[in-house]
Amino acid sequence: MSWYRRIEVPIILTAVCCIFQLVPYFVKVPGWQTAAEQMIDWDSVMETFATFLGFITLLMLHGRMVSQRREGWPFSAWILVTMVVYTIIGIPLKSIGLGKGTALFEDIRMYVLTPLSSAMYASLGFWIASAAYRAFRARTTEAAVLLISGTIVMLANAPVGTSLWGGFAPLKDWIFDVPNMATMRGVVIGAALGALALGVRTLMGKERGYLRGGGG
Amino acid sequence: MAFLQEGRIFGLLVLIYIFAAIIYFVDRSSKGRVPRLRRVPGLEMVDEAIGRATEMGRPVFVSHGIASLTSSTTGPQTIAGLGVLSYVAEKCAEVGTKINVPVRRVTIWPIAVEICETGYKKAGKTEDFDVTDQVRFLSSNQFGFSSNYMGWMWRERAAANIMIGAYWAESLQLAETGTRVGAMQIAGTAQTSQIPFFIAACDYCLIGEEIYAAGAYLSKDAEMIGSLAGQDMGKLLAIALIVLGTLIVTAGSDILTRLLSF
Repeated sequence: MSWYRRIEVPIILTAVCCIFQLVPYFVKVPGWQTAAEQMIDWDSVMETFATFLGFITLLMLHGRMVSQRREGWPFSAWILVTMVVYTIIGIPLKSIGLGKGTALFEDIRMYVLTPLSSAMYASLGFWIASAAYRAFRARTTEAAVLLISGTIVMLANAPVGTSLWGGFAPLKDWIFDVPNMATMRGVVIGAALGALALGVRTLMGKERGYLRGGGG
Repeated sequence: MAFLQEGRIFGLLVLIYIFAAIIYFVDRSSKGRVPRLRRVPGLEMVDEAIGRATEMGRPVFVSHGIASLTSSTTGPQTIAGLGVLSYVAEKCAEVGTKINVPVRRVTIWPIAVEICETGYKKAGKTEDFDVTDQVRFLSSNQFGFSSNYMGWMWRERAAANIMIGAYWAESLQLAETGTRVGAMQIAGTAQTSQIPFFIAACDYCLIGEEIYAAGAYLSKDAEMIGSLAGQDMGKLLAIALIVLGTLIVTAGSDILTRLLSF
């Protein structure tokens, strides 16, 4: 196997990068902090280069979907058309009205992409309603607790609830500030320690799941 | 101590303590004294989900979240998700079940491809793996990704949907779609605002730190399991500091607060 294909190479690279970021966080070394920050900028550079890879994979995937007339192929055709058209519109040729910052480019973003994203975000309300319908069935003690606390929070947030009984709002605050806060802090502390342990395992080369399926 | 960053010395000491504990327990485990892991139902059910998909002849969807690898807070969640993908890819290849991997970050796409490819190679079924079709970069836009993921699950009638990683507003959209197509769902995240959605919509939910234990739990690697015991030493320290802090602050002293910001 070529030396650069060996599993040790990414492990060493990961460890070196981790240490490079970790040391200036705790130790004052002139210039190191700046170097570490610049290293983080490399990520943006890599991401930008990788955009081209994304373009190619999308082209391959949706090109195949269209050519094989698979289920939903018109959507794939639409993706291809918009991708190519928007790429052309994004070419930095301001003299002919193309490129980032031009009216055409910004209008498409403002009047197409933003409303679509907002619509998707707004649809969450309906997803929450359907999930709540299933979750709020008191089949177990835990589900009953969820149902009761959820109902109190909903009534406290809805004008009708607070007009029925003024006690809903302070009750909701108590639920948020005491049991909810305590649980969340427990989860956050546990998760932070878990992430730390994962970092240490990665640094030691023990965590290999993300590397070529654990090595080989 | 002039060479150390002010206000971070206690943090450094804690890091050294946890590092030492993990190294100690990893070493102990490598000598055969492997700590016992508590049962995590969500991870136990991964094999069950793959088996169900195999019986139904429908695909398994595995997602590692939408965060990049480089973020200090959400990157570890992506690594944990990729660890689960590694296990599921190999299992799916072994039993001949199709695995579909939706990807949001284009920089992670080659990693996901390589993980799946290796899984199929290990199972000796390289010819069954179709890169373009099975590991798809959907969109770098959050809702572009989620709408594409939902459509893909819907068209292919996913039998199982495993989501381990960092998710934001799209978590419920994905989980609800999975429920509607009748997929068995296992989800996990350390994003506290999304955990309730996963609990409400999925069959099994991994909460917070459980996702970081997934790699060790599924691989059953002794040294990795040992590192979890080292992590528990950190938890013991946190509990001790919380109890001590409560007592000290109640007594009217701020000594611990000053110590923590040392």
